[in-house]
Amino acid sequence: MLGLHRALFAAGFQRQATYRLALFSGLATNVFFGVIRTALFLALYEERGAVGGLDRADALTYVWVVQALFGLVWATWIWELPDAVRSGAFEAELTRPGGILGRLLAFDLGRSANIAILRTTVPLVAAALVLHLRVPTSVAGWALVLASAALAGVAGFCFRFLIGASAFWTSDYRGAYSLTFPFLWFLSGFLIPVEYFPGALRTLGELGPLAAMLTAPVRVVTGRSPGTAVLLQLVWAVVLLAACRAVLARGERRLVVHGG
Amino acid sequence: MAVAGQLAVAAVRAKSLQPALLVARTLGAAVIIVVEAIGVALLIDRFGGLGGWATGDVLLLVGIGEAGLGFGLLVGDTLEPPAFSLLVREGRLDSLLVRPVPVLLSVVTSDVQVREVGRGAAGIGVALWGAWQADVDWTPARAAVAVMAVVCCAVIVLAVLLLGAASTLYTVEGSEFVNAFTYGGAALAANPLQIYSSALRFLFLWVVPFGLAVYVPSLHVLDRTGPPGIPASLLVVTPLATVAFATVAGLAWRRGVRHYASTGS
Amino acid sequence: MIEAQGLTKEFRTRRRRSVAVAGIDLSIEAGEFVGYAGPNGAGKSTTVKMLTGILVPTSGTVTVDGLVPWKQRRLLAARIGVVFGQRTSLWWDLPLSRSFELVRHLYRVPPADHARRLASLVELLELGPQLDQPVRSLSLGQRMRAELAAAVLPAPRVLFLDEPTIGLDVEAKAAVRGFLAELNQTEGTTVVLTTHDVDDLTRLCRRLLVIDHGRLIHDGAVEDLPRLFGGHRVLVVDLLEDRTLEVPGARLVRDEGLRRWFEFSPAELSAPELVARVLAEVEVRDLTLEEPDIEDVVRRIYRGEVSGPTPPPRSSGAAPGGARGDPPRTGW
Repeated sequence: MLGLHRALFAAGFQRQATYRLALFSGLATNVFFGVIRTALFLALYEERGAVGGLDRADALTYVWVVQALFGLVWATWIWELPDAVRSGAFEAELTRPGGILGRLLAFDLGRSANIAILRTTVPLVAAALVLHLRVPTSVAGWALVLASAALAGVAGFCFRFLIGASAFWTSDYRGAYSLTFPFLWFLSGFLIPVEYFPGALRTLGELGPLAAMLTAPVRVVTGRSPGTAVLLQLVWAVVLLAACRAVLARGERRLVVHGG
Repeated sequence: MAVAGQLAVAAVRAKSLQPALLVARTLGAAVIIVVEAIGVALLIDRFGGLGGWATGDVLLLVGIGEAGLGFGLLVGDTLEPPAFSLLVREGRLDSLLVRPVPVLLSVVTSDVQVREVGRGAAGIGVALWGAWQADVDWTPARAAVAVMAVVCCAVIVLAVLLLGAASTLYTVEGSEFVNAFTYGGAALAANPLQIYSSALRFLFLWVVPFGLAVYVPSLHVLDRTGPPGIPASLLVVTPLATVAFATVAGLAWRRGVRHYASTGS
Repeated sequence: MIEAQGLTKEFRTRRRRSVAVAGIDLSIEAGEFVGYAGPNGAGKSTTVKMLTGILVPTSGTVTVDGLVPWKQRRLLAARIGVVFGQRTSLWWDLPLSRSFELVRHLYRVPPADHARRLASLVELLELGPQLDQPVRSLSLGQRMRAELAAAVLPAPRVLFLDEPTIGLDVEAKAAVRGFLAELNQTEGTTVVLTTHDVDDLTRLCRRLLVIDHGRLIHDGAVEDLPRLFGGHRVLVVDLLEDRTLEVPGARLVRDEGLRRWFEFSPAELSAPELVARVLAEVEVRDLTLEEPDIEDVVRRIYRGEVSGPTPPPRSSGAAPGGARGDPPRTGW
């Protein structure tokens, strides 16, 4: 079965390769946003040492990890699954043997990997060269970064899947997404680091499932107990995948009983 | 002009065929801006200020920028890189060219991104919230300045989209760099200009004048003096620069259409 | 109504130069129904684009209703109608009636005129039940009738149609053709029909322009081409074994392996009769009847099998008024 998943991974990788042009110019927007936010944090930290446990180097690194992971987590192909469910194309998946989730995950990770190569690494590396960022200096450190990115990709897949799975029950999935996305985006720390959140919100942001997408990877890159961070991601990845499994089973049953 | 209204109404009608989705999307667009504003407020409160500007001051910038972006996108969404490139590649531009109206009018009214009203309205709300926090004394003059700021910002956004579309008429491919200047421009204008390098400042004051549209009018509303090099008196330049930029974009578009007519699709 | 001299369009890319239209002269009077035919890629669409003002010619002159299309595009647009076969100019998601409403506004048709014309068009084209349906839910045949109605609603002086019958079933084609004939006769609308469907040409057009590789290779009345359109057809015979086969009343025009193409004229010999004769001669694996296509027409023109006028070569500075509806010029 692993051969199939490897093949799907490769297929996903290839699939993203067709969007070459969009990749490069989307990169420009990413970098631009990174530059703006860098200026913002440089100004904020002008006369301060550390806020919320983060110093300037941490904050700047955060900015560029956000730009690196944004395309990975909030991928542009979020509507493919729900659309397929609604259009009936998803039924083909139901007739194939083996685990659907595993197949979808493999394909998705392939696509993410393709994006990661350019869109994720280039801004981060470029920024690290120009600015004083806090990045790992050891091979082990970078290995953890790789693992963290992969797990972030898995977490992203799970969230996208769960959001898209609403298509099994309603045709208003896009509307549902429009209303929930802002909160997920905010609470996962893509707007400001969760370390700046007040009280309970901060704890939720640091330890909750959304942490697996951004907050934990930032910790891994900046070296704030990276091992624990990766562990946290792993735990949540497992939990989220289980949740996806459960939702998928429910959804399949609904499809099979009610039709498209 | 009446034709424009009719066409626009038709576009809105088409969008309203799924009212629940439209409402959700519009609301969603508004919520994003509100959440963003909350984030900014949280951030600046934590740090006690940004370059000498208080939270309310910054929120005014955010609000005006997003309002301008929202209304600009409302009108110009058909000019955005992926949509316009598709229009050209599918040959729909030809169908629009055989109409007895200016082609830009046809393009712009072929779709109206109603959900951006959410962004626009939320932007205004955020601006007002910021002004309230900053204890702004709303005189008619200040109100007029704020309105002009939003209008100029919207026009600049539209002009950027127009320039992008003009380039698509040459290359057929969409230019994603446009997004860096529309969404990016609003994001940049959301912070006081003094935090940026002189290169960025120059670019966004004198080339793509978002700074003149958002920052300078805000100086007036907040009764602040700007940093050396950006006096509040620059306000007179704002409408002039906006018109100049829009004119450049319009000329580029005309050229683009002429080029398209010479080379076919 | 439409005058063009030396109309040329050259496309230049970085690597090469291709001539889509190479010096076309044409002259179409008001009220004519002209067929503009040619194989794919011959330059038909390019010509129409230049006539409607959305493409600028590389050289040559052209006027439509006294206006220079590419210079006075919008002014001309108010007086012409254009129907693209592959694309829609209607509003996709909205009910058909809304599209007609918008056409009224676009072309500034006075409300009373609009109401009257719309009623008559809806009846003529049988669009009644479709009025409340969104355009995207219409079948191709219904949509084409709707496009026609929309294009004709503002009473244009010239109607350009670019492959309107493509993909339509027999019934829909008949409806479209009937409507166009009626339009031309009762309203005197000049019609330029671009097509590579030979039936469109025989049934509708009184005049035929044939273009191939950017050049006008034929310009004359449709009746001048009796051999082509006198209804010759082709019977394709797949033999079981290779042998010579002669069939009285039919002419062998092509021969490849076990397949034979026989041309015949149904006026002289009916298809069933011919089939009977073939089967009497030999055992066959399969038989098919083919209609002539535009490539046949072009081939015949080149072979000189067509009697009747051909336009003089571009460089000879054709005398103006030559093709204007005067009796056909002979040769060159």
